[in-house]
Amino acid sequence: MIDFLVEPWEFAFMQRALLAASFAALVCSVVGVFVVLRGMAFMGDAVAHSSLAGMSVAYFFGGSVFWGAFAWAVPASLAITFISRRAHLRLDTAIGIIFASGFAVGIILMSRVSNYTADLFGLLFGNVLGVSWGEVMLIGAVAGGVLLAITALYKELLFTAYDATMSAASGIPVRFIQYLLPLLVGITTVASLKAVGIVLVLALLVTPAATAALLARRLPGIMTISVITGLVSTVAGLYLSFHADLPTGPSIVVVATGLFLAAMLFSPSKGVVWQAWRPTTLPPDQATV
Amino acid sequence: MAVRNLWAGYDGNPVLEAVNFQVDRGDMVGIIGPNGSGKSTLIKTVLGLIKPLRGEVSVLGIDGIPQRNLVGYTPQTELVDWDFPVTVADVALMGRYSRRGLFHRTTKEDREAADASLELVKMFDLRDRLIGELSGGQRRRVLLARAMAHNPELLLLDEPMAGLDATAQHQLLDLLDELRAKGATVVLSTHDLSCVSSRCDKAACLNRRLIAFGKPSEVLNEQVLGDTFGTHLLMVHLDGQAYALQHHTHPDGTPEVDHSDHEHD
Repeated sequence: MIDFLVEPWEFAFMQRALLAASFAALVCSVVGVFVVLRGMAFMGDAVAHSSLAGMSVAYFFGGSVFWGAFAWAVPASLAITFISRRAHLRLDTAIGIIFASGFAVGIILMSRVSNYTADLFGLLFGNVLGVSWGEVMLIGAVAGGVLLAITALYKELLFTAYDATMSAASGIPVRFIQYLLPLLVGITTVASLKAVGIVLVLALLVTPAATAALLARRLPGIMTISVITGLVSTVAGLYLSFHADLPTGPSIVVVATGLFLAAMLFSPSKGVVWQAWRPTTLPPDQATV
Repeated sequence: MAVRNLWAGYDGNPVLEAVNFQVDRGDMVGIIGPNGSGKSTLIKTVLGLIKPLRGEVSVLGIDGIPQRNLVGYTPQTELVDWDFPVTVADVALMGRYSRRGLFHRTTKEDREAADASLELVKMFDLRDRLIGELSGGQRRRVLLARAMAHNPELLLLDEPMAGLDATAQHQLLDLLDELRAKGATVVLSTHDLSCVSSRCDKAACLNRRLIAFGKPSEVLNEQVLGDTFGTHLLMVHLDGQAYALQHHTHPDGTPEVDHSDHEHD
């Protein structure tokens, strides 16, 4: 049993993977709460997918894939907000345009690379076991920056997410916040690409926060539980991946989904199981005289 | 608060045309008009959320940018996300958030002011409830507590009575009277003519232009109401009294008489 728990961490690549994936899960779980509350799930997904273009350009010219993704994600997040605000399009329409165009450019560039399938697979599904110490620090720094911004602007983010009109009336710079939040979501997805890849980053962003929303009532509690869920999923996912020899990113996502299902069924207040059993609360029948 | 030759709207298309009026300190003013008449636009312009296309707004004698700390606002409840995971106390505390700066936490003074505000609207006992668990009248009072939390001198309330039953409406109006006794000025928009005629000091009849402004007993006559509501209002003469019936036309074309709103001799 001790061996089972200790063995994975005797390998340096597993230590790096644990740190990188934990940083990613931490920042995703916090940002994810806003994503779930504001219905921005596909915004994060779109930024991740469109980042393939930036990653491919970097890959093609032998640069850093991380910075390639970052350089693409920042303008992509701002563009989604700008298009939906200015062009009088619905947000999901703006998301669709950015999502597909970036992904298409990325695939075209990747098709010019000789070992096309293997490299593309790494970008799409992540390769956290291949992460370097430099990348671990980079992911940590980016996650730290995003968390710092959220701490600094917590009240403004909360108030604007809840009621933008009233926030504007109170003098909060609502337009700035409305551009900032998608930007933070975009940067967060980039920080998580190495851990879970383009296709699965959505799960890290949404699942822990959705689990927490089933278990806690208020925002601070939701954030705490979301972070715990995200980190537990990461550690358990790494064990699963190591011992069962399964791909790491998908293992983390499967564990997170399992926790979500458990919360959905057994949450003390919102659990499906209790709701089915809960007796209807009526006052005792008064005998009619 | 004064509005002088105000033109305002969205994307350069004016909704309000040449609106002029002045609200005296301590008054309760009711803005009435049909849907699309510019009631919300007027309130948002006074708040500074919409820039006037022409003309100006001054609040408490200060022109231009409204003094945020002097004005409290409640939006239409349909515009508020009631599923958001915050409690009554959290919402009241948001009234103290304006321009606190980076990293600033709320202070003891903020929390005391928010609690006092909840006491005022008689919601203190429910302070730990989630907002989604409240009734319509309670929701309205929480929004009012938030607007009151920074002790504003002017309250701008967008449709505070919509969706409330008669009892809840009167409780809300009694509460507004209490606040006015402490020196607040109240401007509210409503569809409810009877509330304006019985409880407001002044009525502003709006249909993109200001049709009339003055004491309800003087301005709420058949001519003005006809001009304000047009075909939305049906005048019925019965036993020497005139009743105004508001009716909304359904998409299928059948008019539905909503409720009897106002009577006068």
